Amino acid sequence: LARGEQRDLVQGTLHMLILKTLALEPMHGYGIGVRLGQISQGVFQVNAGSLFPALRRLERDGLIAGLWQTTENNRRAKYYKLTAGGRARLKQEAHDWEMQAAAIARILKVSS
Amino acid sequence: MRALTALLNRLASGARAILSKSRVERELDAELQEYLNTAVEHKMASGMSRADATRAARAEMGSVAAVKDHVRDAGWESTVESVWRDARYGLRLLLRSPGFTAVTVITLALGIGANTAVFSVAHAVLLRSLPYPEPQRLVALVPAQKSQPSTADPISYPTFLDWHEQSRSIESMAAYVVAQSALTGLGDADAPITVAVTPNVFSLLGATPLAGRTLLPADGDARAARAVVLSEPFWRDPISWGGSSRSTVRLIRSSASCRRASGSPTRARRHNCGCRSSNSARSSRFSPHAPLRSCPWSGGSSVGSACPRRLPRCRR
Repeated sequence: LARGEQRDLVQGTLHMLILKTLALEPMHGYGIGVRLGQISQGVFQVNAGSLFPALRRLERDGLIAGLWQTTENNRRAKYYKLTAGGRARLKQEAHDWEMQAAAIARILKVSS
Repeated sequence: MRALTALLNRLASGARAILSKSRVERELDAELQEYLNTAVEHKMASGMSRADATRAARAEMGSVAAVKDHVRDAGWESTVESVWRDARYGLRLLLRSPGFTAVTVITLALGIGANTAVFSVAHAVLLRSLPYPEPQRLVALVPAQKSQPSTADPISYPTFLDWHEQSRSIESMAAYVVAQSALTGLGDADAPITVAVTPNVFSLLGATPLAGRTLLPADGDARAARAVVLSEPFWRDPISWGGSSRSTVRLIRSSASCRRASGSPTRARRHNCGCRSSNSARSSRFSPHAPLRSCPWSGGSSVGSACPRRLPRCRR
């Protein structure tokens, strides 16, 4: 992982990224963090102090559901999966994000 | 709808977290432990020794207690818990210094009490409207002197008539003077508060009698027999009538000579009116909560007070 390129997440995007990660397959907390790092090619490193509160909030809001399952190493871990509400929320947030990002990109192109 | 569902979810899970606090805590511990274990394995898989991997994983994760704090803060129940903790702490501190607590409580009690009292007065005097129709159109007229603007002297009847004739902005004008009269003829004498008014005061205020009539313009004539309008509480109060409904009572000015009032029952009944303002429970300056006599405006003097006032029998 390219440490020098690490960035803080844009405020409020962690929830969306977790939802997106879980849309691919159910995962436990560590897996989510690793997957986010991999997909962003090391740009985003989510530590436990941000990840678990986010998971708790998403679970509270009924967007993801946690279930204790046996891992491949035969231990028990809490796997999170997307709920129907979470899927809908992801769709909407992704749409909003794309709109905003496109608008910001247009503005930056004009001013540079 | 979605927001409501989310809110309900949050409330429910927060409540669950409070009720099953130890289970939620255990689960979080297990989850974080598993996170750490997986991290160690992950690092060992990439070639670290177990000791190095464990150290690195711990360093990445940071303080487990801090992570748990962050997670707890994600729900509303942590706010409730901290408020509850603070409240208990405050209570313990107060119990530790009872003298200070007593002073504080007394200070607060006095402050709140004084505030309530002042506001009650302000409410009754300033804020609550008079119990009459269109109270915003009622005004009190008093003569003001430039030298002493705060004193309001009584006015004479001719002055009142002048005001009445010359005013353009007042639709209708009535005058009154408050006095104490002696009520005799039945058991113990009483000294009810009476208000001498011009006959139009009732129509001006929009007050209608419960029984009988209020005053007519003719009652204002100096030669007319004195007519009395009783307030409803006075009328209903058996003490006012000595327990008898067939009594003749006399209402006289305390300083004036008096004659026994007499009259036939029919005539009597005609003069006997109960009057109630639109809300009899709330008295105000004009609320006839005492017997009212109609008489020519006397400006507070005892002109005409030698006349007998007829306060005929009252039949319930």
